Amino acid sequence: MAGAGMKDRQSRMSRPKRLRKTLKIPAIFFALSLAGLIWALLVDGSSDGLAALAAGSPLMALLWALLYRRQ
Amino acid sequence: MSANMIKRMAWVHKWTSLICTIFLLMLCLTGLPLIFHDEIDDALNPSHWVPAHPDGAMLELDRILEIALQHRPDDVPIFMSFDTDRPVVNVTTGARPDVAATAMHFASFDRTSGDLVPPPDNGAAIMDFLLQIHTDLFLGLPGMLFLGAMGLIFLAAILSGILLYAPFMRKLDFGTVRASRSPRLKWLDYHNLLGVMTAAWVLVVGGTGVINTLAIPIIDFWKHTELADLIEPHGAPPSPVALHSLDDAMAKAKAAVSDMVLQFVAFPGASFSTDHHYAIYFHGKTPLTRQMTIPALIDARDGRFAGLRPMPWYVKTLALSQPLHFGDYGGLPLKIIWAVLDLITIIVLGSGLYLWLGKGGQRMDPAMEPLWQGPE
Repeated sequence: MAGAGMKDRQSRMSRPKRLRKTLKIPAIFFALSLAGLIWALLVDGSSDGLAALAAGSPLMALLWALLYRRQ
Repeated sequence: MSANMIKRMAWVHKWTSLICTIFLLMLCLTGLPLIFHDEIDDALNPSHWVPAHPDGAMLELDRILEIALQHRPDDVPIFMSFDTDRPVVNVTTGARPDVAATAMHFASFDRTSGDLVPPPDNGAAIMDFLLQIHTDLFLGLPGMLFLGAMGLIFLAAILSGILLYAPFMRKLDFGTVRASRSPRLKWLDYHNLLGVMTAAWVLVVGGTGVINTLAIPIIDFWKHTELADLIEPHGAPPSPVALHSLDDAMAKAKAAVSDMVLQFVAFPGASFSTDHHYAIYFHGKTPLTRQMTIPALIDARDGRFAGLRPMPWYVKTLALSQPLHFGDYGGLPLKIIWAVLDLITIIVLGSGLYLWLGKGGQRMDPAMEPLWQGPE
């Protein structure tokens, strides 16, 4: 039922809005991961850990999705 | 995106993926242990070595070179490098300065005594095998260029895959995996989710991998353009026994650079030098400038300082591509992330293959059809 409601809401969305919604989260993690990969090249020491965290942030999102988004 | 465009992208994604998948699987599998090559080397070769005279004076580099050549009387010196955490000098020799890497001989010497340092060669053969197959499939430059072409095709597969993500996923919330539906639909969702979330890393590693396959042409181009004035005929190359003092050359090079760290020496005729010069390479001290080397060139016949040659943009790009490809620049946490992303890429490649193999002649699952209908 909830799935059907979600489909109804999405089909009522305009095309650009739906595209934005579909791509928003992947785009955020794309940018975060890319920034982490480059940041790790610019810093040393403890900041390396933070940069690695940013670079690996999509893994956390993946874990969340695999745990909570399986239907 | 129009329905026609989606179909075209799907065609590009299918065929580019199919062409490169087997090679990408090989690169991912061989690349996995290479990420941890330092840790594997250390684990297989626990070092109990100490210098003969821990507080003693360092031998001159000329003396170390002489000792190295006594061990390999038929060889010429090619490279000399320096351990950063112990007084050890590494000398690479070969029958000629331009022999292939596989024909080079590598030996390490205690700089306080000139004694040979036992090589950490447990497991080295396996790691060398993996590195070679990962780099050029044992085919030299043609192999490197072939893998570079596969890398370019892979980049096209990734970009077309990213473009296809929205049409496939537009009716689903982010991260949805329809695991209770057909296996194909479930794996399509996994393929899309894992693929899009690893896209940044895959683009960086794939793109820098392609650049790395061009290392030999890039270095050759650099030599024949930036070093053109130095590689013009200067008469016969100097005989290895008549080389000017390396210590004197080193002193002149160090005087020319300020606040930089010595990295390695390329002897005359080696791939990173000319036929007549010592190329003494230094790098910076920050994480970024550590990748940026600058050679000081010293005439190996008379010790004349020939100049500092800052690397052009394309060599700097190559230098930056190496850590970004191998993931060895941010400590162990980054290496672990690299390995996990590598494993996920293997799953994306495998699931793509599964989706293609499972398709053969079957009617498409209705839940996958919106792709072909185009945007509503």
